[in-house]
Amino acid sequence: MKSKIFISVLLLLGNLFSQTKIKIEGNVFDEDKKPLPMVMVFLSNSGDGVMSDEQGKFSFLTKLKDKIILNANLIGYEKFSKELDLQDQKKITLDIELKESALKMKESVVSASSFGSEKGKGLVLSRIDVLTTPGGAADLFQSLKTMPGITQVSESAELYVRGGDPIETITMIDQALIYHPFSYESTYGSLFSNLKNEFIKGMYFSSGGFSAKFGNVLSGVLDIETKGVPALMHSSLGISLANTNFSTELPIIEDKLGFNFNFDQSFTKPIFWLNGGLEKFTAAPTSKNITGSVNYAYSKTGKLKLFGIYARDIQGVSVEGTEYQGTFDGNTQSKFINLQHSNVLFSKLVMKNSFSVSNYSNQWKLGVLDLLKTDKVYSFRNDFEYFFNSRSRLLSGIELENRKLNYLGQIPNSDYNIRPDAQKKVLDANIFGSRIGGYLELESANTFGINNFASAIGIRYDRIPSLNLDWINPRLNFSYKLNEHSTLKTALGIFNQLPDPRLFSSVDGNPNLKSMKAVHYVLSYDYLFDEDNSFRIELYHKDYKNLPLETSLLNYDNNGKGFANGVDVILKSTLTNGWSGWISYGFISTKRKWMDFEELTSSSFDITHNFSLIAKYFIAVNWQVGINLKYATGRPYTPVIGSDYRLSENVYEPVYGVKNSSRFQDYKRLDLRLTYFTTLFDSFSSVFYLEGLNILDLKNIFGYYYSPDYSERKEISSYFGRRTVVVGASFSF
Amino acid sequence: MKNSTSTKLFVFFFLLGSILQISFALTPDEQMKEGITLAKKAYISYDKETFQKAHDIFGKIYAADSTNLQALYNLTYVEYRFLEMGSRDKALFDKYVNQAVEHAEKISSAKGFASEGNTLLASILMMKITYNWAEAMTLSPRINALLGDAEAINPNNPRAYLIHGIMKLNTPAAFGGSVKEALENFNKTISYFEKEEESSSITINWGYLDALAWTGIANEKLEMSDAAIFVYKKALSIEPEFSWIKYVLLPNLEKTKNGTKNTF
Repeated sequence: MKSKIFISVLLLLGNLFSQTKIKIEGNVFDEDKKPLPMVMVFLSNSGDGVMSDEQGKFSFLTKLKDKIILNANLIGYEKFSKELDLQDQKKITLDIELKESALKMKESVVSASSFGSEKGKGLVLSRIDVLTTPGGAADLFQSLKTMPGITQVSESAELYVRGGDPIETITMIDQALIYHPFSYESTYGSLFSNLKNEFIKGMYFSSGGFSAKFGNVLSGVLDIETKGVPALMHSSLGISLANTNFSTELPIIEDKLGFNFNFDQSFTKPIFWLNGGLEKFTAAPTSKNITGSVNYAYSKTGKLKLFGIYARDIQGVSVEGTEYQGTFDGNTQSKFINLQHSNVLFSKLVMKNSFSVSNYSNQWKLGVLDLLKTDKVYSFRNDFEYFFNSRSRLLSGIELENRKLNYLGQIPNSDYNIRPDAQKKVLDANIFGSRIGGYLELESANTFGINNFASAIGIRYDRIPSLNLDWINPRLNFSYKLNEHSTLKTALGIFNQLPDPRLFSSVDGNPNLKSMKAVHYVLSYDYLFDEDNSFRIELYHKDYKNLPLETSLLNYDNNGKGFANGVDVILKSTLTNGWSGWISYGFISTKRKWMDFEELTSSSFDITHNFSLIAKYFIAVNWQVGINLKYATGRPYTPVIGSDYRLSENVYEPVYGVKNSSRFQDYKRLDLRLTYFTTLFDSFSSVFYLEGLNILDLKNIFGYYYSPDYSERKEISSYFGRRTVVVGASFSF
Repeated sequence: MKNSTSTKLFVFFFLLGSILQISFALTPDEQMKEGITLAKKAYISYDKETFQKAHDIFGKIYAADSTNLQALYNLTYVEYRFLEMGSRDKALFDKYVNQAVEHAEKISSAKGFASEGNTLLASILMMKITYNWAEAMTLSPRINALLGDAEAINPNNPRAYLIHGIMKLNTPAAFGGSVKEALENFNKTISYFEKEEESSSITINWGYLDALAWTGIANEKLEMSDAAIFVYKKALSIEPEFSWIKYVLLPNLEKTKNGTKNTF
C-alpha cells in the first residue's frame, strides 16, 4: 500500500514538474542596436508577457507549451512576430530587432519650412492656437500670419510668403484648390478668410521647398483637411459685437454618417458704433457664411465627403481720394463645393479623389470704376500613396483644372483720375484655360541605408494646352536626424506658376506670357525639447525668373526677375505653469524687377524685420490673459514728388519718385485678450472674452491720399488704426 | 410569541454588538486597510454599493481627524470613481462632483501630496469633461498644467501618465489628442507600476488595471488587436474578475475580430 502511495506521489510530482514554467528572456533593440525600452513583448492569445526595461531587456514566465507566436510591439516600429516552439524547453533567450515603421518614416520625411496641426511632425499650430490667438478673431489666416515666413505686409488675411505676392500661395481644401478663400475684399486686401475654424481637422502649411504634390505655385501652400463623421452631437453658439455664429456636429449613424454645419453672420455696425469710425461707411460691412459637410464612411476605409461653402459680403466705404470723394461699394459672393472620396486598396495603396466646383463673383464700384469679376473653376484631383515597405512610399497623382474668368464693366483709363466722368475703358474680357498636372515622389527613411537620413525626391509636370505651355519641376527634400531632439533639413526645387490671369487679357495684357519661375533653397534646423516645446531656425534663398514686366510694345513680357533671402526663427512653448505661446522672427531682403518696376528694386513685400510674440497665461483657474505683439518694418512705397496739371481732364497727374524708395512707418500693434471660461447651468461650456485690438492705439497706416494738386498728403489708417474693443461670448452644448 | 421576539432582539443586539465591537476594535489604519480592500473589490466588480461602503469608512476616519490626508485621498479616490460611474448617472455625478473637486484641491495643496493630489484633481476634472465635454475648453489647459506639475514633482508617478494618456486618447487630434502619445503614456504607466515594490501603504494604489485596460483600448484603436488581447488577458491573470475587461472589453474585441460586433 505504502509503495503505491509513494509511486502516486512520484507521478504527481512528475506531473507538477511538467507544469514548470518556461522562462523567455532577451533584449529588444533598433537597427542601430540601440536598446528599446517599453516594448511590449508577449505571447499571442495569452496574458503572458512583459514590457522591456530601460536597457531593452525583458524576461517573463509562461506555462504555455508547444508552438506559440511571440510578438513585440512598439509604436513607431514594425510589429515583430516569431514562432517559438516551447516543447521541452526550460528557457528561451532571443534578441529582437525592431524596424522603424512607415508611420515613423512619414514623420521623419516631413519637409523643411513646414508646419501643421499634427504632433510628431515638427512645428505645430493647433486649432486651439488658432482659436486663442489674441486679435486673430479665431481666423486661421490671421493666426498663420504670426508664424515665421509670412510677412506683415498689411493687416489683410492674404498670406505674403517669403517675399511673394499673395497669389503665389495656394489654398487647398480636401485636395481641391480654392482661389478666393477670403471675405471683405477691397483694394487693400481681404480682412478674414471664409474657412471656418470649426471645420478644420488638420492643416499643413509650407513656406518653401514643398513637395511635388503641389503645382502651379511659387511660394507657399496651405493644405487643409476638413472634419469627417462627428463622434458626438455638439453645437455651439457665438455672439460678439461684430458677429454671430451657430455650428453643429450631428452624427446620424455612429462612425458611418454625420453632418457638420456652420452659419455665420457678421454685422460690424455695433463695433464701429462703440469704437468710432461708423461715419466712414455708407454701408457697414456685413457678411454671411454657410458651411456644411456630409460625411459617409461606407466601409472601414472607404469615405465620402461632400463639403461646401457659401459666403457673401457687402461693404460701402466713404473714400477720400485725391481727385474724388465718394463711395467704394464692394459686393462679393463665393460658392465652393467639393466631393472627396478616399479608400485604402490592397492594404498598401491609399487613394484619394476629389471633384470640386467653385464660383466666385466680386463687384467693385468706385467713381468711374464699375467692374464685375467672375471666376469659375472646375477641378479634379487624384492622389495615390503606395507603401512599398515600412521605409519607403511612392506618392503620385494627377490634377485637372479648368478655370474661366470674366471681367465685365468699366475701368478708369488712368489711376490718377477715377471721377465718375473720367475717361474709361469698357471691358468684357474672358480668360479661360485648363491645366493638367501630374507628379511622382519617392519618400524614404534611412535613404541609401544611412540611418536617420530621410529623403523625398519628386518631379512634377504641368501643361496648359491653350497656351501651349508646359514645365517640369524637380523637388528635393532631405533630412538628417542628428539626435533624439534635433534634425537638420534641406530642400531645393523648381517651382512654376502662371501669372495673374488678368495679365493674359488680349486687351491690356499679353496672351503669350509664360509661367513665372522660382528656385528655392532652404536649410533648416529643428530642435524639439519635448512634445510641447520646439525651436526652429531656417535660412532660405529664392530666385525668381520670368516674372511679368510691363513693356510698351507687348503690355507685358517675361523679362522680370527677383530674389528673396532671409532667416526665419520660431520658439514655441507650452509650460506647465500655465504659460503658452510663441515668439517668431523673420528677416528678409527681397527685390524684384517686375510689373511696372523697371529695375531690380525693393519689392512691396520687402518687410525687413517681422516679429510676433504670442503669450497666453492662466492668471486664475478660469481666467486666461493673452497678448499678441507685432512689429514689422514699414512697407516700401513709391513717393509722389510733384504733379502735372492735365487741362483736358481738369486733374493733376502725380509725378512719382524712385520706385519703392520710401517706407511707411514701422508697423506696431499690441492686442490683448481676456478670456473667462465657465460652465452655465451645468450644461453650457461658456467662453466670455474681452479683446482690445491695438490696445495702445498705435498709429498704423495703409497709405496716403493727397490734396488735388498733390502738395499735401494725409494718412490712410489701417483696419486697426485705432484702438478697438470687442466683447463676445460663445456657448457650447 | 414572546420567546420569538426575545430571540430576535437577542440576535439583533448580538449582531449589532459584534459590528460595533469590530468597528471599535479596529485602529484607523486597520479601518483604512479595510476600506482600501473594499475599494479595490468595488473597482474589480465596478459595484456602487461596495464603493459606498468604502466611502463611508474613509469618510468616518476623515471626519474623526481632518488632518488625516491619507483618509482624504482615499475618500476622494472613491468619489472619483463615483464620478466615473456618474457619466451615466446624473444624480450620482451631481451628488459628488463638488465635494470631489473640493477634496482633491485640498490634497493637491497639501505638502508632500502634491503629485498625487494634482493627479487626482486632474482625474476628477477629466470626469467633468466626460460628463459635459463642452467643458474641455475650460478644463483641458488646467488638467494639462496639473499633470505637468505632477510629473515634474514625481517623474515616477504612474497615475499622472495614466491620466495624461486617457486625456490624449479622448481628445480630438485637432485639439492635441493622439493615440500614439496616449499609448506612450500608458506604456510608461505600466512600466512604472511593474517596477514598483509592494508596500503596505494606507493610501490606495490605483491605476494599474486601468492602465492595462486603456492600453488595450489604445491598441484596438491602432488596430493592434493581438496586443490588446495580451493586455486584457494580462489584466485578467492579475484580477480574473475584473469586470470591465472580462465582460466588456475582451468580449467586444473578440466579437470585432470575429466580425460580429454591431457597429450601428
